[in-house]
Amino acid sequence: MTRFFRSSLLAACAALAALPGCNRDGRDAPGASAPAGAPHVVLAAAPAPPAAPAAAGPVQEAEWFALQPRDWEPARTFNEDVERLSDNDPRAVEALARLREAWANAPVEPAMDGARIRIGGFIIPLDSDYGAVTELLLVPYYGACIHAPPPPANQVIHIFLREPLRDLKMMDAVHVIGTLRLARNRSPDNVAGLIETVGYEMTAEAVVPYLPEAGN
Amino acid sequence: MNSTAPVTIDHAPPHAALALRVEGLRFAWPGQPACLDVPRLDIAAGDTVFLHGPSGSGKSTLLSLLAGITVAQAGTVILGGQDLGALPARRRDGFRADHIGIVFQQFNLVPYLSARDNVLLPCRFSVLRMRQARSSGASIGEEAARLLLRLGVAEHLHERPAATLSVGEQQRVAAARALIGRPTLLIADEPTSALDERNAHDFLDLVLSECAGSCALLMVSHDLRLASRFGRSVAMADLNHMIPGARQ
Amino acid sequence: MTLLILACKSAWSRRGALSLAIVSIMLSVALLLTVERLRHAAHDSFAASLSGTDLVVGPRDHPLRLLLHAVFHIGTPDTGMSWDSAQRIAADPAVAWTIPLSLGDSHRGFPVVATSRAFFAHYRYGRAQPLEFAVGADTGGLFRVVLGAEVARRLGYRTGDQLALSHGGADADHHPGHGAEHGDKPFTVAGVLAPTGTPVDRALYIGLHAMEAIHLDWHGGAPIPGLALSGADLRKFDLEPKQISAVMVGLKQRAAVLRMQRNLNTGPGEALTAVIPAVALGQLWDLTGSAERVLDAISALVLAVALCGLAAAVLAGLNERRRELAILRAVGARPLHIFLLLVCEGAGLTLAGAAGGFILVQLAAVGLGPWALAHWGLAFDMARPGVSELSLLAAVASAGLVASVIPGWRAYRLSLGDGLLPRI
Repeated sequence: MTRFFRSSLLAACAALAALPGCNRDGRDAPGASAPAGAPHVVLAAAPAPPAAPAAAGPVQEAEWFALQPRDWEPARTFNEDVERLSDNDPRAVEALARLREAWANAPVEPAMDGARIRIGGFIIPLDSDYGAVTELLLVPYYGACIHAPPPPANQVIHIFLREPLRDLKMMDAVHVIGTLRLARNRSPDNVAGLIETVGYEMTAEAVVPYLPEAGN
Repeated sequence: MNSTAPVTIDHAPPHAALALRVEGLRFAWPGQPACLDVPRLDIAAGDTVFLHGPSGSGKSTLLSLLAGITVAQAGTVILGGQDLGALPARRRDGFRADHIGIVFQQFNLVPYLSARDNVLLPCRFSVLRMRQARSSGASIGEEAARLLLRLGVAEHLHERPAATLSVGEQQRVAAARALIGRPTLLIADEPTSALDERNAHDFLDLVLSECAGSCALLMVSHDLRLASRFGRSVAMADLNHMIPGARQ
Repeated sequence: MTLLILACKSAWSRRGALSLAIVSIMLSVALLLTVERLRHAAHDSFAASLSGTDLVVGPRDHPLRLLLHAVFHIGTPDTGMSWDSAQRIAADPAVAWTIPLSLGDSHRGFPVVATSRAFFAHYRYGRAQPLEFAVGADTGGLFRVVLGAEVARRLGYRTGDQLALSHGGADADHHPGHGAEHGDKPFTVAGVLAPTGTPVDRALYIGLHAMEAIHLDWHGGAPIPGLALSGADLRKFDLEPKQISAVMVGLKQRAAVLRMQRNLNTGPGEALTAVIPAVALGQLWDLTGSAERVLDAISALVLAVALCGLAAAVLAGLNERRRELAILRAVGARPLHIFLLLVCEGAGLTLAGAAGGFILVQLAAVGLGPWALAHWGLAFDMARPGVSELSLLAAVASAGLVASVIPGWRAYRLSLGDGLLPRI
């Protein structure tokens, strides 16, 4: 009879263990697997090197300021003590406009091209495949595009997901692992030979929920 | 009631191995006065004992105690060398599965199982019985079939649901179930009371011959005509000292 | 293993009494699954309506209202945005393409969308699928109309047919607008789009100039009496629109959308709202989230009721089974075995009911799926049950297990008390 005990207890435990894994909001996109207990559906890291340019080297933990060139300080363009001006002062408005311009044209750090990194941030979904997110922007701080001003062009990463993810919502905090690329302006009216780099792109290998203790 | 036929209380032959020894057994249902007081009952291996007495004399209670369903407040029940009272409850159930076969007066069989599956039930609950059933080299299914045939249950009945069998056939199947795997003790509680006379005699003959030498048999009945086939005959009135008017 | 087989055979022998309980579990599980699938289908359908568009820009309004109006043709905003603003946006060096949209008229209950030819070139839906013509093409010309697939199907139009638009909006499906008709300026059907499963199917598409043209001799929602302009006259007028409802924007660099949105929202000049479609849809689901949770709760309650019914059916049958349980105890079953037997039976029956409900839903999806897509635009996805549905079924089985504890406990107590001889 102990045989029966074992099999029945196993069956009961398996059934009960499935309960927390019951993820009502997230149906899996094809190919993704959901570990039981995860609050968001997690895309398991692709087991084999991607068909895209092979990931070079190990994954480095990246900070957002690494994406800015060392010598880039847009605030240096201000020749007044901006903080002492009131918000309506035309000089403040003009300074703000210049800052925005600087941020819009923020240069990229060429050394980051091809770097395989892991970086944490907040997501802004851009496009989806029948509800599963396929493209998103990763930004360094919460509230970008809601109440805070948009980040500089070198502090935004345009991320492509090889396998669409259902459970990603606006402003979810995640870690993304992938190889950074310098995004090139794809405008068809570019003068031949002149390619402007305008930001960062990445095809994500893995997207995981942001856990404070994981990866520090 | 006192019977007119002679009854004896035998003491077990001292040299035979004891299948069952009861000593100083006292039992009362919760909240009620003591109903059972059995100073001594010995059954040797291979003994056949006929226990008779009127209703209310404590037969069913005694059987429950012997089967390990209930535990006495005082005294010991030693079955196959093991003191039942010393075992925790779940071990007692396992011990019963290993060493005891039981036949009731009626409703012996699980109605939705076939006759053969009913016979095999003890083997499902006891590894010891299963092994002993296989000891002759056959599978337990073959052993069940052999027992059924020996007890007069025709082969075409083996796979029929138990509920479709006649009472006589059901009792034989119950006997086969009690006997499979050679338990230490076979307890039969009024097994022939629902049968007609011819069936009752046939049944007893078959059971006694199958038991011969391997199991001890303790049968409770009020039909004293059957007593002569048994090695010993014991009256509840003599056994249970709580019965008023019992001889000391 | 033994107890499992015993439980199966025992339940089978009482199948008459238990069948109703199983059917109720089947139906309640089917309800749970259907609610889930419909919800996902609705979410996915909405999300699939627009793809590849970075921003939807319109007059200052709640972002969701703007999106619902521009993309889903739901609701009527109070104002529009100026054509100048739309042109300024189109001229921005960061912008790759724009699709201006103007809504307002209807035709027999379907909204009429005035737009440019960029609509057919740049509009994407689902997995970045472009629009395709089932019949005909966008041939240009002033009074040409392109029909969505469902409009053509429901109203029975083909290329070359003529139709007149009604002034004023209309409830999408059932209530034609009560405004007057632009009967003197009929439109010719130039083409019919292939089905998309999006609101595109349920709209008619005309040119922006045509929209201006039919309203030239109107004022305040009605024709100006005494003024009737013929088709030829119209071409002499300036048919540039003054106001439109919204404009869809595609950027050269998608990452620039945040900056662009900020500039449009807070820039000088006309007060505009720029919406990132995926973000706004997320807000929509936040809004509907509580309603969806209520639906879920109701479905769960229905299942709980069904499980109670099962437990009650098993409990009611326990009395007749006391002899059966006494027999099992006689052959060596422990009271715990009796408990497990009953629990097994209950869990097994629940699992059988759940599996039956799942099959029922799959069959319904296969049978009714195409119909649901055609009539409601809902893609009832039947191909992939998904891990979450299977774990839902496992959760139902666990719930059945828990519900079976009640009859199991009762049987346990009975067998303890009855011993070898139940006192029935």
